[in-house]
Amino acid sequence: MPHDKENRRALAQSLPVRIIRHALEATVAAVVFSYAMIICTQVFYRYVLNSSLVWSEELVRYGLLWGVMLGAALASDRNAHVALDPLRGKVSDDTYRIVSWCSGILVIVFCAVTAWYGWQYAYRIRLMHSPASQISMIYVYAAIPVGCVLIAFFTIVQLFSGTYGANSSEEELLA
Amino acid sequence: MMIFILFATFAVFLLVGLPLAFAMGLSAIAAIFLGSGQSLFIIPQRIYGSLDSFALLAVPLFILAGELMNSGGITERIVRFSRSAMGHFKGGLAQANILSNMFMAALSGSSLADLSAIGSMMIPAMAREGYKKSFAVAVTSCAALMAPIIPPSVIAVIYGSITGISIGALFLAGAIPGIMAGLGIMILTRVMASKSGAKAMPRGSWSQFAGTGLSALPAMAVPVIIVGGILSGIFTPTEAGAVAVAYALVFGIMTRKHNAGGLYSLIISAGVTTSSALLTLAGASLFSYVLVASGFAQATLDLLVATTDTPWQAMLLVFLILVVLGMFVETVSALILVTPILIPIVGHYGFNEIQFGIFTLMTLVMGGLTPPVGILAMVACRIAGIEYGKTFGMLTPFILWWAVATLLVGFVPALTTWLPSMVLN
Repeated sequence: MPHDKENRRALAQSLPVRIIRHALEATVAAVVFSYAMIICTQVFYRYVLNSSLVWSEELVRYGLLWGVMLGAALASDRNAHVALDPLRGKVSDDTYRIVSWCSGILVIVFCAVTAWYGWQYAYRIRLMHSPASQISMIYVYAAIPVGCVLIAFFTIVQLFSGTYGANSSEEELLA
Repeated sequence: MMIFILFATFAVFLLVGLPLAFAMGLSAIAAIFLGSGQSLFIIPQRIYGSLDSFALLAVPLFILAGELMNSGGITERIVRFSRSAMGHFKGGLAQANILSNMFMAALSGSSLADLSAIGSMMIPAMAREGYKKSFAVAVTSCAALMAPIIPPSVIAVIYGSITGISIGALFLAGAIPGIMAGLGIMILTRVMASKSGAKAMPRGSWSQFAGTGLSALPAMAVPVIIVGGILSGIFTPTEAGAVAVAYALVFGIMTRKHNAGGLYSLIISAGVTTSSALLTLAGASLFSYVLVASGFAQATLDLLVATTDTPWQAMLLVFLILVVLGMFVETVSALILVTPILIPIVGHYGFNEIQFGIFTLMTLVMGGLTPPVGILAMVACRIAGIEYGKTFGMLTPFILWWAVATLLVGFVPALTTWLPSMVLN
């Protein structure tokens, strides 16, 4: 059994998962940092150069959608979503394992439905362009299916590694 | 039918430990799919609609600015200054703790960040000085409630972006109630000091006071930038957040407290914290869509109107319901859930929307202290190394004071309306 457990943990630390995790982390960091940089640039343009940027506000707004969807996938990887988890410690370990599988599968169901309709919707409005920067809206709405697929991916990794919800109590998360 | 499916599935999802964001989203999907047969394209539309907001960008920015200031040593300077200002009073360390929280509240917008930053310094220090640990936990966690009330405030940003109320006005409106609550905590601490093992520390010299004050000065510039900038119309709350990030970054680099690796993981963690809050917002916007579409929001208003015609009774009822909700649901989710139901109530009874907003925020943050899941108190207990259950006795007077302060805000309009009317007109 201990050997089996080690093997399963290894999934979360296996090379492909680590590559995806690092790429995701770098993207989230870049997106979050760019909010601050772009908005500071906007302020600088307005007061120092006396001209307004037209694209900046729109761009960071879309950046927020991407940042939240990708960051939510990282939150799944780190078990950082806010959950009540009232049954933890109240039921036997075996029962709890079934309960957390149910919880994980429900997350995946949500992601599947949202990703499907999110993608359909993004495809339908592909010909629409944003007012200021003329980006096709498909690149904006694509954040929803992409984020959901990644959330589902990390949830599956967690479930099979046996670490799903390992520290998802609010107390742990917020410290 | 829709509303039944919504609540039934939501209850089951919460029970199996589904994170709130997914529980709310999925129960809304179930209700829409099974109950109304409406197109599920509403899902991406609501998610996009709830996040497509320039104002909401202030959330990651204030979170990041808070973390940067912490790691840049600003918290440490504030704590040192507060100790030299208040330490020589009876219960001085506890008072310094409250003062630090008040300063930090003006720099950061969330309780938890402040609590973990100040608590990790002050709670062990208080325990060493002979204070009861349960008292240290109660003081620190109650003082942390000021963070989302004294501007800037993450939840005020969220509330403003849902309701369309000016975030600048909400920021201003929170200043007096926040400081009032803080002064009340100080008085309460003084009264309870002798029972809690408090002592006075020797008075430091004036030069020490001036020295710590001087080193805390760069920290004091932040509220001036944020609040002053918003008030004078130089920038929006979101831009103020970005400028605060830049300031904290430069400050940390100049004091050589930041390094590349540390900054990188700090930015990621700010991103993750933001995402888990704002994904909850997206899930809740689906949930509240069903609440409104199914007529539940209107039914609630009708029920309230049938119960009472008097505004003050309605206010009291709202208070009681929100307190109970706050006990079980985390602040951001609770706020997003109730806001669509509360908006018609504000209109019907003719409440002032800004006053009612601060009143709602103050009521909901109280859930950070109350059992069964007082997150703030639980985090403070872990820092102190005691059991959460053993602090209830000490927490009770603080919770009661916060409730009194909240009701004062609810019934005395001047506390919230005076400052915005002075400055914004």
